Amino acid sequence: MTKYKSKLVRSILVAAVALSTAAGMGACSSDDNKASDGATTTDAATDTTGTDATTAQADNSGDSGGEAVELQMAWWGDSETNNKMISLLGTFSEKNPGITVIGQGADWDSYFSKLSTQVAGGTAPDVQQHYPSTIQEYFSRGALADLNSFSNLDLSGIDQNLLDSLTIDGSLVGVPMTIMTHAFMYLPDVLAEAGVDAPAASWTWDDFAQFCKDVTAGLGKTNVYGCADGSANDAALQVYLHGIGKDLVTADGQLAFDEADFVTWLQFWADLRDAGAITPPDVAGYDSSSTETDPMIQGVSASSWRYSGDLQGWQPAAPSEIQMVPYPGVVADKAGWLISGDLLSIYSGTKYPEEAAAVVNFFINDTAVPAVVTGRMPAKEVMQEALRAQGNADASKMIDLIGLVSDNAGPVPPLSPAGWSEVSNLLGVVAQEVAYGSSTPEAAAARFFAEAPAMLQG
Amino acid sequence: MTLLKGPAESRPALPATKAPNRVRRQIRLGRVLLQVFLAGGLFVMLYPLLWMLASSVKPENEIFGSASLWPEEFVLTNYPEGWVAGQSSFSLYLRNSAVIAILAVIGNVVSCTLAAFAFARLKFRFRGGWFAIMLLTMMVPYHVVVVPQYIVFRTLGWIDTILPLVVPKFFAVDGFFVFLMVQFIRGLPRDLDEAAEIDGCGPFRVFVRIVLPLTTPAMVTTAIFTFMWTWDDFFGQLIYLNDFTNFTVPLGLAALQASTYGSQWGKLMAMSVISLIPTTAFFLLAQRRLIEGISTTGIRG
Repeated sequence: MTKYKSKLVRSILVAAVALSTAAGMGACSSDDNKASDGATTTDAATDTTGTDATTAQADNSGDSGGEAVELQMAWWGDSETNNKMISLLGTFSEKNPGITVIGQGADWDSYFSKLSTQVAGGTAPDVQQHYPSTIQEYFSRGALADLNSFSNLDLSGIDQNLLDSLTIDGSLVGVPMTIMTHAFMYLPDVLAEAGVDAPAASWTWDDFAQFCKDVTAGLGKTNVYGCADGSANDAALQVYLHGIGKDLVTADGQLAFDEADFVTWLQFWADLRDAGAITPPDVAGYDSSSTETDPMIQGVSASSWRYSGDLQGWQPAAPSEIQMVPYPGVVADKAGWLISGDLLSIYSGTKYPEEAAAVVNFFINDTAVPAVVTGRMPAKEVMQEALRAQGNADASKMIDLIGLVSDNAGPVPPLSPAGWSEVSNLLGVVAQEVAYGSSTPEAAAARFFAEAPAMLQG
Repeated sequence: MTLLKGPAESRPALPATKAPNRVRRQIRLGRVLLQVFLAGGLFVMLYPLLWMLASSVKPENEIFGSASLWPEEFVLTNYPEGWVAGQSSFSLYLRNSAVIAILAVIGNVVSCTLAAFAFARLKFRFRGGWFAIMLLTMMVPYHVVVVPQYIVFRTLGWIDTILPLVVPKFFAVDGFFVFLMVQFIRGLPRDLDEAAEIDGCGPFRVFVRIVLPLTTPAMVTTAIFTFMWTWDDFFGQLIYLNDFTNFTVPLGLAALQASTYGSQWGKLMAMSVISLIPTTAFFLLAQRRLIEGISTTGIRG
């Protein structure tokens, strides 16, 4: 009763402050808000623990013998994901009595508008879902706790390279709940028709060139080719560059390869094109963003450059069964790498860090969890095997591919800088100029290196 | 032509009416062309709605698979399936939305009318200045005030309740409606107030007895727009409501939009159709009163 009353009085006081500051004097209101902000947080803390003062201390250590702890967890997804997450949170509460986790689901577009408002407003969800491209920003705003500091978070078995890529200034800002990797997808039926063996799990770019020529020749058709033209594909380019010990960009946003490398790349594809081994530009588009425009789905190519997580969406649309191997050049000494999918992070302002860590731990370790989002694979092998046991053929293929890559997985390259989408477009433009014969590999590379650096700066 | 002309000329009584007939026919032709043109325009404007309606009764694979509006296969399952596709059934979302919208309408109509009456009729210190500040609030973009507002409501402990969406409406925070009403009240003849004052009315009674009844059209306009804007408001509801049981119609619709493969377009469209019904119904009902209001005050004024 008194608790309620004091809350009411405080509400009125704060309302009065807010009203008086809101009345036109915007500039000084932020300080006032901050002041009242701090006051109430401490107030609230005493409010919740004060009534059961005896258990207040024990409470924080995670025993949760007394008072029930209520956490907030936010994720993005559709209603199907929401349903899965809510039932998983129920399972979590059963296994961890005393901790209730309230879910907040939003679709991808609204998720980050909501989260940024919550972070700015000082009350973000205790456990948050993140994405590699967004996590840096939230960390630099001070919103994310260092996950290294939690002893109840079992990270063993997660690829160290992945964890390194998520470590900023010594702080582990997120752990991968799901992972994926590059996938060279092909149609075994078409290969059988052409009388060509499936690509080996570890193969070189020369093997790839031979594969394309063999498939096209073996089929002997005028409109089906061994592989889609990958000259404009920045993921394929990155894997190639990785194989020669380079990369697309450096951590500080400079191009990490030189003009000669790029000429070699464009010439490699030009030769295949001249030999009629890959899809000519007038047959297949270069837009690899959607299922429908993919050359393999359209039936003009026996293979395509994708990611492992695409399988679930691509398979129903494909003319026949899809198989996957790593990209060419991903061999023992020139390793590929794993890619983080959904990340879980803990809010730096959480009142219950230990309990929040328990939630994260549940999602990366508990075998009840696998495959929250269809098509994404859990990061740990134990979890992957639990998922495989459920008998989904697509999942097995993804797990196998991830296994092939992770045996020799190398460091995860730095994330693309802000201007990369523009550079990627430029890559598409110059590669197509070469494909259509309006430019030579040398001229195209020169243009790329003249224009790209400015885009990365801007 | 000759066939038509023949018998017409043979009749002696017709020539007199013939010329006006032709004019009438031309007018009619003009009207027909106009109608066709307008109908064409209407179709273009309504196409997205028709597409939504059509998609709501198509099977999932036909929505983007065929360009025809008319479904090849007519299915109604999207409606019952969409109704329960979310974490709670759509009836809960509709009820939550209705509660917020109705409270917002009441709040806005009551508070904005009072504020407008004060600005338009009462004399108080710095009236011009306050009015200018009120107008300024209209010019501040919403996204600038989101975070400070969020902090205020968080401090009050109002997050995940409907209070942040409803309570401000009772404090005349929508400058646009205050301004609309002020302009409207300024247009009412002052003689009426003065007559009432001579009869002994204080300011409040002048407001209740004289101004309020004459302000109906502006109040109806306020009610309609408040209802529609609140019903369609996505961002405010997104940031202030967290729990699935507090979700409103726009949030429920967003949850049907997939972030990965295979959006549930059919269900999304079906529920969008449902969500349009309350706004349309409210508009149609209130619109009659709006026109009534204008015509009656027009005659009196």
